[in-house]
Amino acid sequence: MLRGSITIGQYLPIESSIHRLDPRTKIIAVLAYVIVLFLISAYTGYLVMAGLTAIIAVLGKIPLRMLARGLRPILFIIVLTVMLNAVMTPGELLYRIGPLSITEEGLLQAGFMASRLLLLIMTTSMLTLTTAPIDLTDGIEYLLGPFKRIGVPAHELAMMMTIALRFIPTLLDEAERIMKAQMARGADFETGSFIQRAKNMIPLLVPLFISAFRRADDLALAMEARCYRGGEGRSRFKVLHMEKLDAAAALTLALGFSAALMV
Amino acid sequence: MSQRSMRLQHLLHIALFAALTVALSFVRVPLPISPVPVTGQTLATMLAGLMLGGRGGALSQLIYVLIGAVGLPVFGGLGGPSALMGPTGGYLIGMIVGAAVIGWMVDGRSNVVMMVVSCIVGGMLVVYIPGVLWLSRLMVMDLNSAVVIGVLPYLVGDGLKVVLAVMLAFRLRPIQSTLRMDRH
Repeated sequence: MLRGSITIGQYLPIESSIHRLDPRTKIIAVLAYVIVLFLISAYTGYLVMAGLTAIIAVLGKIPLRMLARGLRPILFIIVLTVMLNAVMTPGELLYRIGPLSITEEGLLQAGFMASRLLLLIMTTSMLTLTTAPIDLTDGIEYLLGPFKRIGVPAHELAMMMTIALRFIPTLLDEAERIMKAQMARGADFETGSFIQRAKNMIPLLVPLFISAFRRADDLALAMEARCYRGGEGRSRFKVLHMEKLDAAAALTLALGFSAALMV
Repeated sequence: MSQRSMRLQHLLHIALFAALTVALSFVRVPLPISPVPVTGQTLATMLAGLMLGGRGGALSQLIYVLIGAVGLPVFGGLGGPSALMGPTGGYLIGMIVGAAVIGWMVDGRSNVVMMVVSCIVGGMLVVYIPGVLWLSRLMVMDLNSAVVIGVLPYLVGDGLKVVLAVMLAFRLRPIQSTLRMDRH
């Protein structure tokens, strides 16, 4: 696996107006989208929501095959849901295949469920396609901010997430290095019985864990030496800004959502 | 060391443990008897509970899940918020609760029997229950078939992971004393 590409995850690093939106706007928009999707009770509502999704995809310059790739893992579930709903719902008979009867109500219900799932997955994956993990982490920290009062450690969570993201490639490199070093000493990671292979993981994992905790200790010392004292009064290198674009997006979505709920 | 720097050190141990969980989730050992490969994810869950305690262990697993939610392909090659809603979503919640259960059951003692029992309860049972419930709800199947596809293929591998986790926890005991917050 490519070390460099792993920490950007699904992010598609291109320029677009959706990419430029504030991560907070995008997180709230997706949450609202999901809620509206579950409140809709008419077909026309789904059409409006599909229209919104299409607009976002076009504005975000997301290639169709990327969206399709996001759907692959749940395709089976969608097909299953459609078939079960088509067969199990009682109502006016349309076709009969052996003991199975497909009803009109069943087909409608199946279409409902499938469009809901499809839109849900496509739109949520657009969030990670157009926003880098580190920006999403920033957005989460801001959005959790108000919950600090009830004991949600917003800053600490985001700090730990950022550091974990930063150290994932380092630890993967480290694991590879340890593996090579142990192989040079005659360790065998590739063959042997299943139990043998599990046991062979120990000379890899013990040094990996120790080195990870050593890094954590060094980092703690370095942060302490630079007077890190938590999120209180901290200034940021990268400050999130809401712009006109965010207002425009919020307005468009609010109109779209109300249209979807009313039709 | 001051109270505050102990706390910072503990937070960074949790962060690095989340990164270790990601690294372990890329380790796959194919099983001869089933199509589902054994991955290191729940091994990390067990170790998190054993080494960081209940709170720290659960936090490290929560951060792992959040890292997946922001798009890193850490759930068996998948990532993003949609992966949380996919068939394996229940197991991910189970990992967070499981690490907490292990930490609270073991509570810093290094009693082998207790460690093994806590790993079986927290690392297997507590992970399977929400996993199977979510699976059966999502795929609209009865609980029996959900158990057949969602638990049985993993039993052997997870059993081995319990042994491996306890062995590793013992090997790593020399650094353990700095890892648990509530010991101070």
